[in-house]
Amino acid sequence: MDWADLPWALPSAYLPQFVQTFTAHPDCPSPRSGGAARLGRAETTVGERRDSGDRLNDPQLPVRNLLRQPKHPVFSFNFAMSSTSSPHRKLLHSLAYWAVQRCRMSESPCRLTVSLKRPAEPASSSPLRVSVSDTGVGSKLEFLELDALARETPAEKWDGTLLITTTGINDEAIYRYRINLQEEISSARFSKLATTYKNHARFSGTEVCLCLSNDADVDDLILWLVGFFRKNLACELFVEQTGNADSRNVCLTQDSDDVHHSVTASSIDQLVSGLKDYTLFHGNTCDKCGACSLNRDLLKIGTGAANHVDRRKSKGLHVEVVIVIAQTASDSTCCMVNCPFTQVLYFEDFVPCQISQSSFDVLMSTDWQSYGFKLKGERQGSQQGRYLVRKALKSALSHLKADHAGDFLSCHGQRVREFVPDLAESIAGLILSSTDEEFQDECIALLGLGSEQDISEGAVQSSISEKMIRIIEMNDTKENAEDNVPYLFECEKLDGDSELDEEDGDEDMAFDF
Amino acid sequence: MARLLQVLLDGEGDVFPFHAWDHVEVRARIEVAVLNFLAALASPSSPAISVLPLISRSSANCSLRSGLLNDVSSVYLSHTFCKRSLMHNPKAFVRVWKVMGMCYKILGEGKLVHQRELFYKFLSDSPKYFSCQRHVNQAIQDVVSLLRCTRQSLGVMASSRGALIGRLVLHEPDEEQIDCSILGASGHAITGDLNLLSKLNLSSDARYIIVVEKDAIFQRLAEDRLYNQLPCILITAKGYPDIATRFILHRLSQTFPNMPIFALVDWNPAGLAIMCTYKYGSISMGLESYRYACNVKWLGMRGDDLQLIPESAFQVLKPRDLQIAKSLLSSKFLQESHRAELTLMVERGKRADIEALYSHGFDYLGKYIARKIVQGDYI
Repeated sequence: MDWADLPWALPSAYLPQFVQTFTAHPDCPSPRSGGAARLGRAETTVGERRDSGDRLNDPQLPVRNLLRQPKHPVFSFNFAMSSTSSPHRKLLHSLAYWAVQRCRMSESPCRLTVSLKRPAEPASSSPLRVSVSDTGVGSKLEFLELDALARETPAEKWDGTLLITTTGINDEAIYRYRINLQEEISSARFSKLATTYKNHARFSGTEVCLCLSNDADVDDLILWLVGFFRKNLACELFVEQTGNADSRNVCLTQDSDDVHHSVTASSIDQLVSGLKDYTLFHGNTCDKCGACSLNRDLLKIGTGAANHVDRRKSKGLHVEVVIVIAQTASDSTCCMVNCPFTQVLYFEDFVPCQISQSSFDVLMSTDWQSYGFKLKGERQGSQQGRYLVRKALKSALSHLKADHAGDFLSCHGQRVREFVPDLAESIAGLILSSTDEEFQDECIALLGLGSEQDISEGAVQSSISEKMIRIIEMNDTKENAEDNVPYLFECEKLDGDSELDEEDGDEDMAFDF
Repeated sequence: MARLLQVLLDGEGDVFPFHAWDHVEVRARIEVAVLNFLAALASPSSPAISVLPLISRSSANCSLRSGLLNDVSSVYLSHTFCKRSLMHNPKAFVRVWKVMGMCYKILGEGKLVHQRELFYKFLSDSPKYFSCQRHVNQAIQDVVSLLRCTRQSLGVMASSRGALIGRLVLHEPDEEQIDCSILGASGHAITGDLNLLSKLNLSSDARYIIVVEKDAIFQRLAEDRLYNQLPCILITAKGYPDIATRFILHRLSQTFPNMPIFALVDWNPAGLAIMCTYKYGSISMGLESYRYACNVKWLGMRGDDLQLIPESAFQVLKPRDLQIAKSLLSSKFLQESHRAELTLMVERGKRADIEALYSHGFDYLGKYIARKIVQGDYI
């Protein structure tokens, strides 16, 4: 098995457990209006999942959206990093990631909602109103990182303003802020708006509203959004046009075998599930591959985890590693059959990011050969205390090896194993060439082949072969496997570990000297 | 037979207390090897792939021992072993088993196969494992070391390049007699079949046996019929001595214990090495070759003879010569007088062939030999 080059472009959060819907959201503040956003009132309840009719009219407060189990099944997803050259897309990407992260960190079922409201006329100068909301943990105003993006986005596309409503589960109030990232005067960049008290209600969530220019390519944007979410999980899309009684409904129900995946599954199980999908979708480079989706159960999975709790700082570090291996038969119809690849997805706090140097070093310095892999390309990494990552990775690899004995034999073991058939054939040939029946019977009895007449040479060979392979596999990971190997005959002294070199030993025509 | 041996094995540590010469014995040992291997493989508690312990064929494991009943010293390999394991050297491991299997079949059919024939058989059956003669020869030696038998007892023989001529009559059972004094200059070719050699009847009225390093010298002396002037038997292996030549030499020395054996070799480390092989045996075939060691005396060329040679006949010692010299000097068996000669060689940095004596005429060599013998000028 070869690892292809390890690309470090790392896509997305591996988190499932929520349902996305696109809904028409009538409320979106216009930029620079300075007005209080009609973000809904705390007392508006949502409760049930609405059908499309209600949606059109209901000024939802997504923040208080469904706190109960989503009706839709839970999916896990990874979405590929598509090139998001347009600032609109980059923005939506980031907002969506953070929303996902917040949902994940809340460790309870959440809902993520993205809504777009566009004017009826394509050429209208009215803005596109966007809102991204979730019922995850409260926001820590990570939006301030959009600084750079704001500055490089022309003001007519996006004015750099975000209206944020957020509350944490233990907060007494819902806080509203307005951030203007294009504002140069720092004091004017951030303003706090009216606070609403929760009156002991317990919920959390965030809503981010913004306005984007209504560009000619909004349709493309919507299509992209559809693709963006569809590839991963989302199942329904509703697009509404204001001022227009029509609405377009696009249902994008996605099949998934994890339909009944428990919402209380551990994060590592979710990661497994997500990576399985990612693998079967070939990293989202193609639509669901018919050939591979049937092989879901044939994926080989290894998992490992390690953690460290620093009691003094009451912080902990928890590392989870999941390895998913898909082997396509050479005659498969899969589009990827001739271009196997390896990808590493790295997440920190459930958000995809560039792999850390220390983790990268661990990957580079791991002894892949003991599992039958070969790393292409060498890079020198430093070996300082990568303990947790290394431990989790090793655990995942050992898990793989233990579950699929023989598939992940070390490179040395594989090389030795190749010689087994010939060796077995030689010994079987010897046994069956004997005219001494007693000797033959004894051999066959030792192999446990029973006492039927006429055991074939092939049967003897297979028996010997299987036993040897099993021994090789068993000893592959043992470090002291060499210590107790028996000698064919008793001998008094053994000269240390001396092995007769291939080059030693002359023909008797040559000199001893 | 296998059972009987098993009983023997349950005794002391030393597995095969005696070396096997007999085909039946060797077949039995091979069967024991297979049974032990399978038993380890199928062990319910700790299955394992056994490691093959081979008597170490290295100079470190070699020592000199003196004969009890004669003054013949010989090299022998002691009890140090080294391993052949599947995990470390799979190809060599498989080769040993392949050779064992092949020999088992050969012995079962009562055949004797030439080492060369074996190579061609393996080359066609298992080219992956045997791509050159050396692989076959080494694997055979591994089996010899493992089972502690002789090569011939495995049903394998190697050809000999040896020849002899002189005052000797050979008589194979049920065959014609061969009078070696009336043969052509190439003499009588020595067969590689040790069994046959052991059955030869030998009769001779010679007084000396002369071992000649090179074929050219052998032929010169044969043409000149030296043995008619000096009652002797001439023998050569045409270079490094093979087992069969040593075997017959040994038989001659046993049959005619009063016949001294003289060596005629070039003045260089390689010549001395050849003489030492006849004298002490070899390490690479140490398990069996010690038996053929003979009390060989160094007649010539020696340091004292160098004055007979023109300066132009000397050549510079090559690196390989020096390597051999170094190895010989560090060996345990070199006697003092030989050591002195070797040191002289190295110091002078020169070598000379016996042919250099022809500067005095082609019949000079015969006279040189006769004079030396008569004067007792040998060490």
